[in-house]
Amino acid sequence: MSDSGLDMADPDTSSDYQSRALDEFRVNWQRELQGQHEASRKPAEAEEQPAGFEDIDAETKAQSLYRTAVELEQRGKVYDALAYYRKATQIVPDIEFKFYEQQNLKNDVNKTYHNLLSNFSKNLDLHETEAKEDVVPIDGLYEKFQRDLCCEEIYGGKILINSRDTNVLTTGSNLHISDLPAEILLHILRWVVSSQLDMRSLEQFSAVCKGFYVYGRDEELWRLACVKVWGNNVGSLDAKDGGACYETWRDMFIRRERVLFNGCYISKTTYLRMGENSFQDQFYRPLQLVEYYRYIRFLPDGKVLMMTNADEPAQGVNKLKQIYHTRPDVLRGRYRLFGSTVTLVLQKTQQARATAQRHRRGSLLPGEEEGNNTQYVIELRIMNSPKRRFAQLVWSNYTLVQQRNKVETSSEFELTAAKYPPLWFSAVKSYHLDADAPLT
Amino acid sequence: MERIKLQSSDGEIFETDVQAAKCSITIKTMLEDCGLDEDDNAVVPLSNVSSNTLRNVIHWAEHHMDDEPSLDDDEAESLSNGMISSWDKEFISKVDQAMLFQLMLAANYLDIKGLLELTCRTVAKMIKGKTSAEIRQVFNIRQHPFDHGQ
Repeated sequence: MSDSGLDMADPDTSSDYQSRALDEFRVNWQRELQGQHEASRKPAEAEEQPAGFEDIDAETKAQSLYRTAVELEQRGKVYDALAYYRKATQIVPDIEFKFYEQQNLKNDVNKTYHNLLSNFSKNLDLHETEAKEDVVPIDGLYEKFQRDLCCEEIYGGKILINSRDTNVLTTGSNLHISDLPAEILLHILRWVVSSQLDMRSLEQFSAVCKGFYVYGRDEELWRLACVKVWGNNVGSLDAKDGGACYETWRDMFIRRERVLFNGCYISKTTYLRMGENSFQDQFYRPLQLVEYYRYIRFLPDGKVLMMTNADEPAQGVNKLKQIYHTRPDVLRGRYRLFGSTVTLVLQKTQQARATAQRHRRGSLLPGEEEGNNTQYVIELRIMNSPKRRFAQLVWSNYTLVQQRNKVETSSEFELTAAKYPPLWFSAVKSYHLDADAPLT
Repeated sequence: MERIKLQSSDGEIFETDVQAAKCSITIKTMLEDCGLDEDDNAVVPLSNVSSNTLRNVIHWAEHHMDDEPSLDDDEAESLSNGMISSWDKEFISKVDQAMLFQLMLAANYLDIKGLLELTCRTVAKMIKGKTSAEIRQVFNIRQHPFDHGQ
């Protein structure tokens, strides 16, 4: 306070001088302090360092001795190794532990380093896949493979590499599938896909190698398949009428609602029926458990087969294997896809219809049976199961249309869940073992 | 019965029925366009077909020369019925894979639709229902080596 008072009294001379002196003192004092500190630190450091160096030197020496000892021991030269072990322990008595620790440390460092790297690459991968997801990886692969196949030095202008010696091939008489021209391979693929649309085999074919992959993604094959499934309603890929957009025909085939062809849809219905009491024992009331299966098999050309049968699926599916000469208990008909619903129109038996037609053509006076016609009209909704697309069909309508004497009566079935459970798809391999016609 | 001589790539000469030879659209047009029909000693050179293959092709054609006078449509119809004739089945079962491909190339070159369909169908049957690993095994295909650049 007094200082400040003084300052106030003598503002221009004394305060100025005083403050300058103070500053000078401060600077000097600080310099001195630093100097002292450095001086005191330097000798200490100087003392420590050589000792430390020596230590480290000795330790590394011991370590290198120890390491050679270990190596020698591993090579089976135990006696030589012992000498090195001894030398090492003479320098650093607990070298074994130190060496072990060091080794661990190194490993740890390596591990963390590697982890870092892999984390990093994982992150990169993530980024890549994220990026890929919206770029459609299929296209990328397709283009990449096509590019690869152009590399003459690897493939020699061929679509794939065979396992045989290249020298053998030059003889010419020993042909390999890679020697076939593209037009023939694509024609083979039409037979593979066939009129049954066995796309599963095509996809397996694509997975064989890059060359087959390029062939397996042939747009024309997939377009034909789509046309076969949706017929006139197939539309175009970029669906202007409000429908979904598809990248490729294959994309449409996979994503657009349809029914599956490589098997059949099966449902099991169970109900209880009271039996008749026997006349001897009034208290005996038999109860019958009735079990039956419903099988629906769709064919790509718009035909459908339906059968209800008490057979277990293992036998039941075989009865729908023959598509040209069906059994009498099989209902035949046609189906159509409308969005996610499939409509089936089934007739009782083909024979009956055939005779009716012959009647119509042959006789001038149409017989009474001619007008009699029973049609089952079924509407099913296509649903996805967690595992497979379009694997479930849920009943949405079932009408019986009867034509008798030119009067059409239709009656709807009540679709109770117990009597009309959803149908589940199950693949049947034998349906697609042999092709009957190429894809056209 | 008219006869015709066909020469394979390695110089062997086969004599066969003109009608059998005309299963091949290539030979048929060749005969009609070049007027080789009249010349009895004409030899049709088939520089793309080896003698082994040609022997098989002629064998097939001689069996089929009568059953398809009305050309492809009818024949395609018979194929689409879904059955391979038992004769064809036996014919193709005697042929090994390399010959099968040879026949394919020959049928493609000679434009013999029936034989091409038969062979394509046979190869397709070897593919259908198999996994990719099995397909690789059937056709002796090595998986592509990984790219060097990536």
